[in-house]
Amino acid sequence: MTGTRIGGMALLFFSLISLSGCGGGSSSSSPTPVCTGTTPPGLSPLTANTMPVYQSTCAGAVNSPSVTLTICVPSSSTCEDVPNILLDYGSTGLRLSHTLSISGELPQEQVSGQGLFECYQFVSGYNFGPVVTAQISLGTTQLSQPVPVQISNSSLQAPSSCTQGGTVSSAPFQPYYNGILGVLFPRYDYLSGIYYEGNGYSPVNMTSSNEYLEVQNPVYLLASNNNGVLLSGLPAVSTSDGAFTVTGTLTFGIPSGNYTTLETNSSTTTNTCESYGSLCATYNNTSGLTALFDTGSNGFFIDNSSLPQCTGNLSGFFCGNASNQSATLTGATGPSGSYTLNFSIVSAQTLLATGNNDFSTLGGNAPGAFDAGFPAFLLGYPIGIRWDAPCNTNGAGCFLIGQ
Amino acid sequence: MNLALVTGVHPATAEAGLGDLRPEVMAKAQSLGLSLVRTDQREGYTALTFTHSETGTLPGRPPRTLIVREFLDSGGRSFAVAWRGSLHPDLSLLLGELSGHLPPVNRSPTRHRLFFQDGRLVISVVGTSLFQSGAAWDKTRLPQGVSPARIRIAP
Repeated sequence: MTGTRIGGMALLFFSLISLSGCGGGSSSSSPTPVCTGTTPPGLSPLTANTMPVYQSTCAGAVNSPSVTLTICVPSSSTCEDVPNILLDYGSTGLRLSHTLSISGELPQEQVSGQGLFECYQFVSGYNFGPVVTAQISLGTTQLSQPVPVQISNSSLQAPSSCTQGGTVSSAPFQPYYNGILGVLFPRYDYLSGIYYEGNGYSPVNMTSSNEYLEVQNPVYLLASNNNGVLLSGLPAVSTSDGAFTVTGTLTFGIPSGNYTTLETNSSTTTNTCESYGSLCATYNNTSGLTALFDTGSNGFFIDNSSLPQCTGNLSGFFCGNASNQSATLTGATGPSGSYTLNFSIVSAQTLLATGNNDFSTLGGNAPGAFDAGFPAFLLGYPIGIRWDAPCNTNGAGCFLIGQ
Repeated sequence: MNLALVTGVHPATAEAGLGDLRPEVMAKAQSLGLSLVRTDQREGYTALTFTHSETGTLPGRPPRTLIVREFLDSGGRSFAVAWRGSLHPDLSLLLGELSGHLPPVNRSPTRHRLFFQDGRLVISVVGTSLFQSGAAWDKTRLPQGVSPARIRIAP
């Protein structure tokens, strides 16, 4: 394990929003801290359709499943192995930090002779930066074409149409990630991306003729094994104190097996618990909760206001314990069944005091929602996303839970 | 189609939001193309549920939707709001002047959650790039006996 233990950095990680004197996207006079962690030794080798997943070795990055990707300048031998790219079931496409050396080498996409930029809206706020192309491999399989990638550059001033409307700026990727690999459907990131051209940031209307320029889930670009992903092999960690690190395997293409299949909503319905791409959950005697599985969420964020909540730097997390919790997740129409998720909650204060980095019992309150974040992946079951038939109604997909 | 609901498309009317009286809430909803689909009378508050839907921008792309639920106290003044959908709501419209309580930079590295609270505002949002589910309330206006646990889309 080459990473840095959490310690004091955990305070930064868990400070969900801290007041900042800087405006969104403005630069700072002090050097930006960056992740110095490397790919941990002893990982299983890449295969044609698998790659190892490991707990991030960036300081303070608790519950952060990560991968290492080789990023190359298209049609050249200029490449960089980039570790600590967050594996994210909650977004679409590859995004890299502007602080990486390779980021400055990748060619920017052009629209009408002007460079393409993107404002990408995470729930946490916006990320702004140029859209470039990179040649990457998934496992040992090199994609047959360069893939559009956003460079998240917090030193650029984002256009006002990106920042207005009460939107906050997401934190810079550094020092917590070198990038984010979003493997959620659909292929393109249009539901959360706003595109601009040129340094004047004129809005770009994305049409069927230029949608190929959009940042996209690179798994769709594989010639085979391109119908989904499965994260497996992660251990069931101790509920009381977690584990210092974990490793697992990300498989491209859904292997045959026995899965519970939950299809996400794909309709225009607005009067059920479901939104596009979501599931439904019943938890703590409350039905109609909007639900999801997300490796990019570091806790169970669930509707339970009765549990004691932390204050100070741990604000937003539970500081009480709740054993033997159970939620029932259901999907929309199609192949959907239901799945009962059994889990526990342990105080964030207790968990962080262990010095470990991976916890299946970390959580916080989220009214109206059941976000089965990375802790749900540390219960010993493989969990996947599939987007081909019969899961692909209106471009949506399924979550799969294995044995 | 009214893109004013989507953050980052049109300027917002910063005066609207929590603290509005019912006529202001209704006027704001109408101006945004929100349709009132449900009114629930509960002990200590009234909940107005609005919906909005946009067709996909390209063939095969899904529609974008938003549900907004405004919570009014017995005096008819808004004290909380919940929302859910694939449209990113304009927080300055939903929260009004309380949106100014949010810091410009979220220092949390977690991309799929937004949580903030101070002496007045509590906001909690989770979701993915496909949808988000959020709730916010003004702690100083929360009616006595009304639990924050009630502030959600689901009845």
